[in-house]
Amino acid sequence: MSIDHQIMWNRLIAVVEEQATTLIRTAFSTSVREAGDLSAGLFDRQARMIAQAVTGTPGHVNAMAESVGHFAREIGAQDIFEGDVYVTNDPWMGTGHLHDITMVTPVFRKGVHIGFFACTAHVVDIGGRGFGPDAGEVYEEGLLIPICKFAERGRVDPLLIRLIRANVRTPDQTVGDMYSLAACNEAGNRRLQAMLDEFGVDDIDALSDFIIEASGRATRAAIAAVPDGTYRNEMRVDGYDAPVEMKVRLEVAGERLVCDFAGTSGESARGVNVPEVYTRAYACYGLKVAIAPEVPNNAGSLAPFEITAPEGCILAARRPAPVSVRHVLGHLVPDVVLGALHAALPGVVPAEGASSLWNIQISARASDPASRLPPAEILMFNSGGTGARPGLDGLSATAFPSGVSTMSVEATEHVGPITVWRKELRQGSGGAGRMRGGLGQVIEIEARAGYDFWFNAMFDRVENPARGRDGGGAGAPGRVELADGTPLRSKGRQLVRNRQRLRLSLPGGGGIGDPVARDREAVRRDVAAGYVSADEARDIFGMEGD
Amino acid sequence: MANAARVHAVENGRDIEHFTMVAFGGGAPLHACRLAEKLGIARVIVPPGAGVGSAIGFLRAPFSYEATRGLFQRLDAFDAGAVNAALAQMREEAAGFVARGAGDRETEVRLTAFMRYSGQGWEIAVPLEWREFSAGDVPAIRAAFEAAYVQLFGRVVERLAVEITNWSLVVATQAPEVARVPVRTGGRSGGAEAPVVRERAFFDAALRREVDAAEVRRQDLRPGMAVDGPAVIVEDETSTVVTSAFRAVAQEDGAILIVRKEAR
Repeated sequence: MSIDHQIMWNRLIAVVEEQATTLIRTAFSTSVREAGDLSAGLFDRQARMIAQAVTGTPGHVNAMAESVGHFAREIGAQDIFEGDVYVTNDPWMGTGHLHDITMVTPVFRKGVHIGFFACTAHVVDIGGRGFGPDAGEVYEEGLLIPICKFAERGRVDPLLIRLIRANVRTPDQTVGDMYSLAACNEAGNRRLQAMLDEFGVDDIDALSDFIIEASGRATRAAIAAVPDGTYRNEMRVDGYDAPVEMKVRLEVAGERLVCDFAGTSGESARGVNVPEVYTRAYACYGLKVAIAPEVPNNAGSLAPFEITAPEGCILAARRPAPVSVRHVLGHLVPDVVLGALHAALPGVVPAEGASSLWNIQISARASDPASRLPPAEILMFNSGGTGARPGLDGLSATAFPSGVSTMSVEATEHVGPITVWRKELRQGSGGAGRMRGGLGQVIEIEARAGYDFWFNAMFDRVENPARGRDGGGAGAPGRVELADGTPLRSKGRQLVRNRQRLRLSLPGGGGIGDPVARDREAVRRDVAAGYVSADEARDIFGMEGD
Repeated sequence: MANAARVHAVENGRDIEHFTMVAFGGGAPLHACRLAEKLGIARVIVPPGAGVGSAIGFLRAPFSYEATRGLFQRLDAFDAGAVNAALAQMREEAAGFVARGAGDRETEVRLTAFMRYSGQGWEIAVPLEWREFSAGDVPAIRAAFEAAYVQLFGRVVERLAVEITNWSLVVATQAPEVARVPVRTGGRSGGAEAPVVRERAFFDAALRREVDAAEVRRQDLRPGMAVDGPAVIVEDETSTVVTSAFRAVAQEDGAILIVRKEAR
């Protein structure tokens, strides 16, 4: 029987992968179809996640893992019907901000409810101020859809669609993406039903128990292998208008691991606050990739990590705090926990990285309203450098801990009237070290003829760069400015007029170890590739002139 | 390779053990038996000319040519004239090319529009009947798109604009009928033994040791002749390694059928 379970477990991965692929194929937002900012997974009747697609971001996946329980409770067993689809974008019930729409579809077999498919994606617009950090309360950040039925017994709720269309700047895309989320769950369902046909089973309870028990056991064994003790770390990051101190204490005792963020700064007046569900999602990810990377991600492997942040701190913001750009601090959470874990597991964790995605939301508007040029909303994801790894350099312009892909410039330019003039690796931005930090990148953006653009800055590591480890140097801090050198703010909405170019210089990752100990051939390669200047090679890496 | 095949079969909901493997290409007949051992497959076919199978396939496949054009149009601004002009050109291009190879053999035309909802990034293939289009065809084209969309994704998106990004037009000759031949199993009383040219050794991975194998020339094989593994059947373009667990039987159409000894 357990061999059958093992086979079905493998097959479930294919089921949820198809679910995710359907979302990418049908999505309207470039954030979904180009960057893969989504998650998809299968849950049992008790709302426990048993399989997830290997795509997207831990912020989505691990938060979604909690969110399905809220759906099951709010809808209630007596109101769950075949053909239903449920939706929410409640930051505290879903994945941390209004732009993420989570949709849940109950799975029926022979008339009996046996589980749920769920998926999450980031839509381009949800009304309000738009995706940016400036709001003072969540009410300003857009339309909040409480947990409700998108479709009942197969029929889509027309009032809900009208409400959403009336409240967002991009009605076709936002509503289109909701249909695509529903389609993605349906695709998963078709595959799952075929699998159950083949194996001649009518529920997934035994399979789910098998997966969750096996994963929990493996995760607890991995935690037990971490030396017992209490490990602390703190890290200062930029915040909105005042620096934020992130503090963590890890307590490892046998198979138990408790991660507590007590001592972290309080809530901000602006939208960089993080709902606790999102903090847990990223803290758990950071711990799991270091301690139990081989164990599949599901309710069983998530449960052994006990993660808590005191209510009211910036990592456990209370309703109605603004939370729109909760990813900025959320993405930095793994750096904090990995830094603490370094004391327990030396030689395992990377140096700090740029970590926080440099997402930019651009609202292109006609310079002259009389020209009637149509407005456009453009969302672009960009990554700095990751921290150096114990045995390898950091990755340049690559997302970590988020798992989004780089969007192609062509796809971005197709969405709205902007030109990306420059997108290139940023020389010298990787922290020096025996292992070098990954490089950031330099991006220049200009509005096309007839347009100005507003952009929402939500960039961190401008004041507080990624620190190196064991003698490695810090990564270069980020910079936000016009191409002529006029400085701009790293957070908040700002105007770039026609013929002006916005220049973003993304931060690099920290290095590990003494740069003078770096392999000389590697330094020469870095200089030849333009990653490191000849001066830096001589002054910091100690290269003799040759 | 075995793992990849297994994963692929699993992803497609198939049980690979019940399939027959067809080995072609210069390297496949060398490894086919070992792969079949790993996958639990009982039957392997090595067609004639297996070593140059791709070239033979290229020559035998229906003669066809696919013309494609990017012609971006929203369906609510469908310009039948522009589409008809483009399709006529594509048809001429494709038919002209096919005629050079296939002469006046009968051909068929297959037309596909690549369509999506405005704002999506991926198109889906929508098969359409090849004909002169008029503005009155728009509802039928939209219906064909929605049918294909529902087939793939379960549900249409209401009220959204639909667009065509590309057209593909294929002109192809018909595939020839395939002749069936009876399977020769080379039972104990039946087939003669194939003449052995010499003895040679190879490493039989399943037995974890080197084995002495009979070398047989493929051109010497007659229908019904059997070769017990371990054996190597040689020809100009490839060699077929028959491991100890298998037995090869020559077929009437020149193919070699390799079967597991116990599954004969």
